[in-house]
Amino acid sequence: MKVALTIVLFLILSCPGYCQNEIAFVPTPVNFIIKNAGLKVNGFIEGLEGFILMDSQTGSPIKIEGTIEPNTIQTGITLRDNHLKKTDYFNVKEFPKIRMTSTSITKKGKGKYIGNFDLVIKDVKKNIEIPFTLSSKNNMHTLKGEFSINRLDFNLGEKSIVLSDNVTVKIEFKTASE
Amino acid sequence: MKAKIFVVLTSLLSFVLLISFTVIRISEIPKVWDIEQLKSMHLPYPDTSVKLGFFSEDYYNKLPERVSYKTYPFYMPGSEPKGYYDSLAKLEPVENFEEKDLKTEADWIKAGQLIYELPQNFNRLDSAMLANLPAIAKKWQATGIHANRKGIIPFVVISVRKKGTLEIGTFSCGMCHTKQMPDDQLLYGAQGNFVGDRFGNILAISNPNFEKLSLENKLKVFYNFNQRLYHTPWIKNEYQENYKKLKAEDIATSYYGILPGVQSRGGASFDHPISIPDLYNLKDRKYLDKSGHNLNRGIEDIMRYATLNQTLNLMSSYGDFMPDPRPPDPSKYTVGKFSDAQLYALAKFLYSIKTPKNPQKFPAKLLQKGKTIFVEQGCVTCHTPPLYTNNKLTPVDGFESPRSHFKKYDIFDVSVGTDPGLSLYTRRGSGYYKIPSLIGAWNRTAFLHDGHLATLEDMFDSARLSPDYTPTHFRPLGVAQMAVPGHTFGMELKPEDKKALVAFIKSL
Repeated sequence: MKVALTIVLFLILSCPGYCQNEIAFVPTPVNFIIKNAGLKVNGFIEGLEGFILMDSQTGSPIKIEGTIEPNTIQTGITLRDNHLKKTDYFNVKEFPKIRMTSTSITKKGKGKYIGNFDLVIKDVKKNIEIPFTLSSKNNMHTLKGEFSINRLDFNLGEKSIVLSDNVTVKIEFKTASE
Repeated sequence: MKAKIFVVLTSLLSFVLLISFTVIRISEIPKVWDIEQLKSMHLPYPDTSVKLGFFSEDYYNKLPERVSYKTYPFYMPGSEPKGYYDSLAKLEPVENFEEKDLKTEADWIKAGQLIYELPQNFNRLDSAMLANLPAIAKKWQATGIHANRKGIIPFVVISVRKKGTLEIGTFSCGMCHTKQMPDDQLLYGAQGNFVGDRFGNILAISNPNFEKLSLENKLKVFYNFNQRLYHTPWIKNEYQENYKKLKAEDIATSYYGILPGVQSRGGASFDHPISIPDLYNLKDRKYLDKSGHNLNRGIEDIMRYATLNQTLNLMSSYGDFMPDPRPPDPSKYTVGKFSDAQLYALAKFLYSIKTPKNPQKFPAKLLQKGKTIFVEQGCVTCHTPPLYTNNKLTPVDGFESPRSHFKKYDIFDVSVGTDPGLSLYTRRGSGYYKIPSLIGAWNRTAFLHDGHLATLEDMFDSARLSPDYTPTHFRPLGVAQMAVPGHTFGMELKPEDKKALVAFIKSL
């Protein structure tokens, strides 16, 4: 009896799986902005597949992971989109997915977090810090964040006098109802 | 006293140093005929089994060099001063390019203009031709070839290479690459508007020796001429066969379709002329020719390009085919070659050409709007300032860039969908078209590489994608309507936005 109680207590305290809840993201585009010849170009990439692993007890995220498909990139100009899929940019034939996986998540306030993520574009992996918010309503969660990357770090194109190196990425992921 | 000597010596030393920086030594002239450089200058053909071959350096050195002689204006027959040709016949030939006299950069540029205007083709102006000139003039005038206000036909000259022998000289570099403006001003380096093909064709067929030939022999001459210029034996395509469709009676009008701004380029295809490029900012252009099949790594490649196209490439080997047989004794090659010094001078002149500004002015607001549209529509991605080209090559439809090309060449890996024929089916093929600069576009009359469109507005007209479109510029023989595909950007813009975009491009 004592042994059984100990085991149950252990299970409750350690919360392996029982207190965690993996919730899939609803497919939403990842938006980005880049300056081209001084003007902002807005684009997005679709094909989101991912999840957020929530701690049921604390309501905080434990892990966030997702992939998107650069083959779906759209910037409003078909020729530009086709070029971005080619070898000198996203090389979608060889690298069909962009992946982001959290390596740590730190709470900074109510609904506010800082996550460190391994971002993999083509064959380059970089760890980046992304501040984000997480809100919940009607058993659905919304994750919002914004970060910048230097496209040259990921071998996306070459140095250009018109195309900025910096890309601002805006994410707004929603989960399905729990 | 000592101070005076010091001042004099210092001044002398300064003068010598100043001169030494401005004097171009003969030893600075790059070597033109370097076989390895010639080979690496050329992009491979889409059919990589075909190898381009060049004659040896020794053969090159033995080819006779052209002499630049002073030339004289050629008047529209009937407009020349009285006794003009008699007076020319009494003149001694005057050599006007002396390498030893060229000391400074300015000297070389001035001499380079002489080479730029040096004719390559000569038609003997004997008594029979002189008698024929008025009739020939009527044919020229009927096809739109006119004289300037002084009665002179620009870009055509009278050459005196031997006393008493007059020749009509044509096909200088300047004939295609100079534009005569409405006020008779000549703009060097512009897309030329003299229809040399029509002029030359009429001159050739009006030659009494040609006129005497039977129809069958006339056709043979015509076929041989076209085979020499265009035959590309490894290609089985209409691009290589089209001149064979002509009958003898069509020869006289075979070039009537050629319009200002396009030229029947050797190594291309009969009835598929190429729009003449302008030569602005030549130093900064990475590729030469519409197909970008020649690299431009420096002045030496400009020199090589010039000598190959005027006309040593006819003695190159394309696999087993050679357009012109090489004389066993190179010294007997009557066409001759430019000397390396002449080529250097020519390149210096080309480098010196300044881009003319459009005299037409546009409202600042319209230009700003056009500039914004230029960026929003993505034009800036390919037509990147300051050259308004990103100096890259785009693959044509039907060609996939080998991986090795991405390391060697500047590839913008998206086709814009224009007619791939020039780049796939001719001796100038590479599988690519280079992205042209838009600088000077205001002064062009033939757009796209094949010159089917007359204006920038036509570029943005979606009607041209339809097979019942009437091209506003060059049309192949017997063709009234055809689609002009490719480069479909800007077609969805509202009329006022197109107007702004065109104004911006015309301001470059």
